[in-house]
Amino acid sequence: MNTVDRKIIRDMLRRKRYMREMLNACASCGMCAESCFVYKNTGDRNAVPSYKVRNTLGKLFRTRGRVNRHELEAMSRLLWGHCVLCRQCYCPMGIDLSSIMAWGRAICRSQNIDGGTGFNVE
Amino acid sequence: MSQLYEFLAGPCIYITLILCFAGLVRKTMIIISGRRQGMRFLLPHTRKYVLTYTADDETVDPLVSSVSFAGRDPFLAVASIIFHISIIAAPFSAAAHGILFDQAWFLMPPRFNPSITGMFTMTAIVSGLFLLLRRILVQHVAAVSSWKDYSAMICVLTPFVTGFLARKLIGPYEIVMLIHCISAHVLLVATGWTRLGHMIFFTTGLFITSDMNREIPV
Repeated sequence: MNTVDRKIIRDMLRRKRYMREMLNACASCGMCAESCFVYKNTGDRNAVPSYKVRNTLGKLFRTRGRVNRHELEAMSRLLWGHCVLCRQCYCPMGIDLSSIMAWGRAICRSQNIDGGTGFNVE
Repeated sequence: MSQLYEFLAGPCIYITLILCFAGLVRKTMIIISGRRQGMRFLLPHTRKYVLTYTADDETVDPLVSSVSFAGRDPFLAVASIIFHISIIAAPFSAAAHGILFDQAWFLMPPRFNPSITGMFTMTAIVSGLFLLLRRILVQHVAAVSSWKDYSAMICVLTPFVTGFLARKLIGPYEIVMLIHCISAHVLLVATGWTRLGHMIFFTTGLFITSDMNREIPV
């Protein structure tokens, strides 16, 4: 399957509309970086939690779900490749970063994209 | 130019406040509606989780723990707190603003010594410049910063810099005052509709979280 069902993505985004407001509260202070062991061990900017949420679920909200499969696959590399959902990410604004990451994973899974874990929904 | 100034220092505030409050109400409604979407309100000290594994799935369970308001960088936390207190205190302590309040609504706020307003203004500018420099120079902060973050910081600092210049009569007064008024109106409207709303909503996130057990397959 090479296409994405944008209706499903839009429905899933609507179900978590408040997450958009949580993302909007991000002041890009970068304090979450210090709490992410993936970033601390790699120094890779892709592993900074705020970078991950903005370029995954944040991007989906910005584009209202108008993404193609290639873009979703790129997101899945951030969602699975740079995060283990250890829930240690700290945000001074209290943004629940890992729940946003988890919902991003759920959206990817709804399109049969699993970041290479093999845990497809279908 | 004086007519424009009269408008900005007078009736324009009603338009600005309506736009600002409309944005804030909209944000509040969306956050409250999150309760129907799996969001939970919690006390900050209970906001910590641990992944648990079962035969069928991974789930995320609440784990009672403490969240430090100072975070992992107490110096940055102090600078940030000083910055936010200053940008709220400076406009309310300015005598000139008090006169405008009095003229418009016959409401005279408490008078402060101008040196207190000057102190708040200077701390807002200095701590704001520190945060701006940190955004430019610290690698992982620069990596997550976009033009929106830089423009937000400029949007916040402009009224304070121009207010300081006007107070000290540095530069062309009328132009400085026009920029001061326009930037202040832009800042108020932006607070309602952009990420600058975190000035109002920064505590909200500490009390809410997603009900991951029921809603989110991780």
